[in-house]
Amino acid sequence: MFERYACWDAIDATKILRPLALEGNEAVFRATHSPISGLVVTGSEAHSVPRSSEEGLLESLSSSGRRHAMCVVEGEAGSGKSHLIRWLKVYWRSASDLPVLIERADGTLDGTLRQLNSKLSAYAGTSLESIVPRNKLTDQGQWASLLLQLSNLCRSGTLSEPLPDEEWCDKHGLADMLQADSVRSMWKAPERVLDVLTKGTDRDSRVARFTAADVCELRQPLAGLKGRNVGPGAIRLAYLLRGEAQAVASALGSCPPGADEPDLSTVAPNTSKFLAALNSRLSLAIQSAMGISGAALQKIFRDLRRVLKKRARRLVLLLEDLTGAQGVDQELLYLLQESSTTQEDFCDMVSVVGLTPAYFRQYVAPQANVVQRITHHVRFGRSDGSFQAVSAIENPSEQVAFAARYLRTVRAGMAEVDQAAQDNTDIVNKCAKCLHRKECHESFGHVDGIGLYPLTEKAIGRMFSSLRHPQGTMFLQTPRALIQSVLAPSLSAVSAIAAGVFPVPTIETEYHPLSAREVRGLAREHIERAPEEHRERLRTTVAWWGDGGIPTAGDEEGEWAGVPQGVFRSWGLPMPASSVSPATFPPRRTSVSPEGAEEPLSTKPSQAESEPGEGKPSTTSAEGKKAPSTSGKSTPRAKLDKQFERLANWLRSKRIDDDGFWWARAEAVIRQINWKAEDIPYYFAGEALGEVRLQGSGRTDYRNIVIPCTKWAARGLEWHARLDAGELAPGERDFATQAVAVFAQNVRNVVRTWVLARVPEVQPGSAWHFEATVAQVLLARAWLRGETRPGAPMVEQWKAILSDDSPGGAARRPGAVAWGNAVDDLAGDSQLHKRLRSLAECGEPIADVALAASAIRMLVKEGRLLPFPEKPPEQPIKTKWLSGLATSAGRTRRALAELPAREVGRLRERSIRILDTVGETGFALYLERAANAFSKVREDLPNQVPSDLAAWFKQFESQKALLKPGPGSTHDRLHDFLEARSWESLLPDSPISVLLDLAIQAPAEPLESTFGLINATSTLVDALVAYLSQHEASTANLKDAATVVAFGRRIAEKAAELKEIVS
Amino acid sequence: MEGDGSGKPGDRVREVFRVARDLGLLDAERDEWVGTCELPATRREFARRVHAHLCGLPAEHPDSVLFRAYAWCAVCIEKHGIAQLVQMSSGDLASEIAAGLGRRSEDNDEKSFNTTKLSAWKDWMAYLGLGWNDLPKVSAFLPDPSRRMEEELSKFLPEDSLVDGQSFLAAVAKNFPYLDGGSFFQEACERGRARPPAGQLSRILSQTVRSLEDSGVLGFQMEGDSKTGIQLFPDPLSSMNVFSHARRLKGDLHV
Repeated sequence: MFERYACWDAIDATKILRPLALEGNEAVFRATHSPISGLVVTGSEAHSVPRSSEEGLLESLSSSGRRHAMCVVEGEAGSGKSHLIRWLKVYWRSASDLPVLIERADGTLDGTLRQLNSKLSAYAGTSLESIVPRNKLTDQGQWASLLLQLSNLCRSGTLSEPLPDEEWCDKHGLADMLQADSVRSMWKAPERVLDVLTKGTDRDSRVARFTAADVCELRQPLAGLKGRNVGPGAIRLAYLLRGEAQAVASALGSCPPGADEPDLSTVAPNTSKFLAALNSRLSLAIQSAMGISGAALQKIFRDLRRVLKKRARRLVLLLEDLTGAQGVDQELLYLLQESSTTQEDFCDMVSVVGLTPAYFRQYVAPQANVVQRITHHVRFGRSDGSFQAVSAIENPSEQVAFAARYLRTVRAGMAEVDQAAQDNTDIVNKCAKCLHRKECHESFGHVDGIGLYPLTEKAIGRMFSSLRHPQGTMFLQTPRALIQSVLAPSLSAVSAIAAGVFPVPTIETEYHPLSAREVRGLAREHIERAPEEHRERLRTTVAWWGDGGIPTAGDEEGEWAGVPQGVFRSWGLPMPASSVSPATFPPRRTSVSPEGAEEPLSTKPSQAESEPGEGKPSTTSAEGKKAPSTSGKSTPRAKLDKQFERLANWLRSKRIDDDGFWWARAEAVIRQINWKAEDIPYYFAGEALGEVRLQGSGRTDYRNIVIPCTKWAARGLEWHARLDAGELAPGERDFATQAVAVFAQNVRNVVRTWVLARVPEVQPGSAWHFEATVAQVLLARAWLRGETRPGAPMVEQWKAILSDDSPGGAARRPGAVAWGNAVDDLAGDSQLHKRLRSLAECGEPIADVALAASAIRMLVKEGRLLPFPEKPPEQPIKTKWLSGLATSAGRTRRALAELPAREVGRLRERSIRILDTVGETGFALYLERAANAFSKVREDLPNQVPSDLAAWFKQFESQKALLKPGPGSTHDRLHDFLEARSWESLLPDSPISVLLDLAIQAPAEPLESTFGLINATSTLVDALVAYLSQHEASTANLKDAATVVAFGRRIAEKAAELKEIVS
Repeated sequence: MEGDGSGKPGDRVREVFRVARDLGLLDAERDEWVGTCELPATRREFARRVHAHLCGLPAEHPDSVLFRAYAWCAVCIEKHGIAQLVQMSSGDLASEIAAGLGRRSEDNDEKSFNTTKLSAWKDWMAYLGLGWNDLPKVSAFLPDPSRRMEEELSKFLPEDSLVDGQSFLAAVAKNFPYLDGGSFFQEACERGRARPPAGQLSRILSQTVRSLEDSGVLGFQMEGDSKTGIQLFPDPLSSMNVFSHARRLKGDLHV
């Protein structure tokens, strides 16, 4: 039974799956070697390479007529530079040549020089010990020495051939600065540079040099520079560097991962010059600090070539990693350029050196003379973003073929590998005689009969293409990464396979991003419901051996989420949902009998309707199928995956970094819910809806709708996004739709709860019907303004409150000070008309007046406002107006309580006064007569009260219109009002609405002006009568002059006239 | 009730009164409309009244088209799954429903359902708590009677009382005629020539009871041999696929 079966030995796997070409033995090297093709060759003699493959390169370099070649192999760390160079060594054909391979070893300068010594000494005929570092300094001693040497080299007069920036260094006191106490004790950059050189730290991706980040790190030490220790130049440079620190940090921040150092020459010119000064002196400083001599190396090397010339040997120098020789690298590069065609005492030489693209860009490319002397410039692929791709394993078929060689070798075991090497035969393919071959190859696939077990073509492709350096500083679509991060983890897990616990967590390395590990959609739902002990294994299996979810086109027969059933079986892992989800499969067909009679539908959902595939490809044939982009650019798909990763993490950590992607979706659902069907003030769920936030996405308060961190929320949001993206498997759409519905159902409750908590209460547990208050305030206001009255038909009252204030303004009510004040106090509430129209949805064909109908009826009938909060809680901006509404409601309530009775009383008083004054004649006749009488008084007694009379006539003239009767005239209105004496029918407890009706209907303005005129008339008459009466009394005693008697008689007549008027 | 949601404001007003009359809430007395009963105080109470009214209509009544159309959707889901229904364009959905319901009568060539009526129908169904209207990314009507059922449960299932499955189903058939066993549902099954297998709930009802169980409104349990229980439409993602008894756990807190 093909289950929990491991057909290789874990120890063999460890020995064979060595990450570096030089770590294995030659037998393994030969057994696992994949032909390298797709090389990109340039250089002055690229034309001599017949094929862009390893064979073509070898043919060109090793041709017998070649006297000189300088071949540079440029490739990312792990791309196969060492492998290619080693392969050249293994297959170098000419016996008269002297191939010398300088392996990368530990990546240190020391290691490289020791190899040069040990491998070249034998041929040189003398020891090359002098090129090996001689200093026996501690690490700390070396750092201090490096800094001291740099300091010295920055001093003018130190170098026999001064560097161009010597003057700048002197002026800015670099030598002083580098020897300052604070710099020596706090600056870690020299330590880092030396660690790279001597310990190979981080060697893969970096060259030993000072960087912009190192200058940022100097900020603190430079702050400690004191004038007594260093000169003014250093103090000034420290000031300048510190001033540029912000710009440097910013430039670094905007620099994409893996890119070269940013160009600081413009944004931070002093920093740029400072770095250039240090790096241009670094090699010399390193040599001094480590006790080596570049010049000695050059002399020894040239001597060697002279010796070999005499022996007619051609030197083939194969240097796997030039960066490993940093410190003497420039000297080496110079040596490699020296050709025997111009230096006749030198032997012929073919050199092949490996270096990284970053090294080439920084150290070689700027030297045009060196570049021009490169005869063969070999790259493994085209540039891909900041990195260089590896063409040989760019296609999935190549990746799988590459992996198959290792799988065959691992299965064969070390003994077989060694034996085959001895016999010079191919190693056997153990699959050929395996009992499980058929079942294994059907499930896992094979390449030319070599099984891919325990991987599959899909697993290799998915694992390999997803490899990313966490900081983006390393390119990982390389052969080495394929071995280290794809093959080794699975092939090392022999015991786990046997124990039935494969796949194990360690198959996912640090280079497998979390987003690629996630299983999406319905497959994840199934896995979450699987027994806990299987969940992680199922996730891993689907993430890598499957499609990470159910494929959009549906699963092929015998697969689940893209994983062949046999894969589950072989690992003893139960396949989820053996009874398949209804949502997993496409719509079922209706069962209709031939006769047309209905038939029950099948109890079990039918199996997949999707077109059956052609079966799992047993061999790779992905020729030309381009692997996913590895440039690290963020595609829409990658962005979406990142969001899904955040959402999945939300449930685990209860925290989420939501940039709006998720809360906007939640809000979209909320906005679509029909809140008018709910018994809540839907204003709060619409216009006043708070900002929606996911729980754990930051600080929230009462203003926020907080979507709780629950499964229904995560599921609903995820499926909503998946529906949006449109990449759903056949049955997933059903599930997605239902998940969104469940989300909507729950989020409706969340919003309802929020709304009920947000609406201010009038008393505990009783929400404020603020829409009703809006309508009531508006209506009471309309009454006070005289725009309608309680007794008016209801439709008119609705019109009054739904329409804006009348352009003419409030009805004038002179004399009613408190009433006028109330109208003024509520003037600002004209805004509420618009608010009410919005609340009642007046934009629709039918306004929703239900929200306030009963409140209006209550106000009309009882003159009472519905309860409202006296002091509503502090409101956010959107609902700030509610606080104003509560204030207006308070004013309205006071106005309704006080004004109607007071105003009716005032009107009554004035009316009675008028009626009492004018008597039966009516106010118009009374005033006409008064005018006549006052005219005569003015004629006859021109010196009597002239000013009072003039004022009266002025007032009289202004109100003369009142005296003209006619249908609809002001006169008639006032007359009718006075005649009706409606106030007499009022009871002491008449309702407010009745009082208001009377007050509003009364012709308040003409009543007040008439009242004023009549009062003035009465007063004037009284004054004149009083005056004349005195004279009338005096005339009775006159016994002398007839003139006086006549005067007295006229006065008596006038007084009688006036008396008649006022009677 | 047959209003199509279009027309001038005056028509809409008349329509509102006509609907109110059809629902038995108002009646025309000379020139005035008067209430015939105590009017519902809340929107949800109104929805309850409308639902009750529609449930009581005979199939021949023109207004029964609302629930007959809904029943058609339930059978459509049974046949094709929910995705197919919600992916239909308005025109297609209206045509499919119209075809499924047939003509009103021999001499009336007017279709019982059309695109114009669909819009109002969707609004009414959503209002009644029978589904969702135009949810984002679900552009059409999404049938989901869980809210309606939650609101109606107290009518036939006292809180915390345990009833056997068959009684529960009988109550469902009576109170929700457009769901399993209901008169409209039966008619739709006959017209659509499809029905859930005997002893198994329809997809839509299965989803509804699962949803109500998830939200803690209903509890289900299986006593005795599961073969004798009431089967739900199978869903390996759900822990409940069969039950023998149902219990209403709490009041309609979510409505």
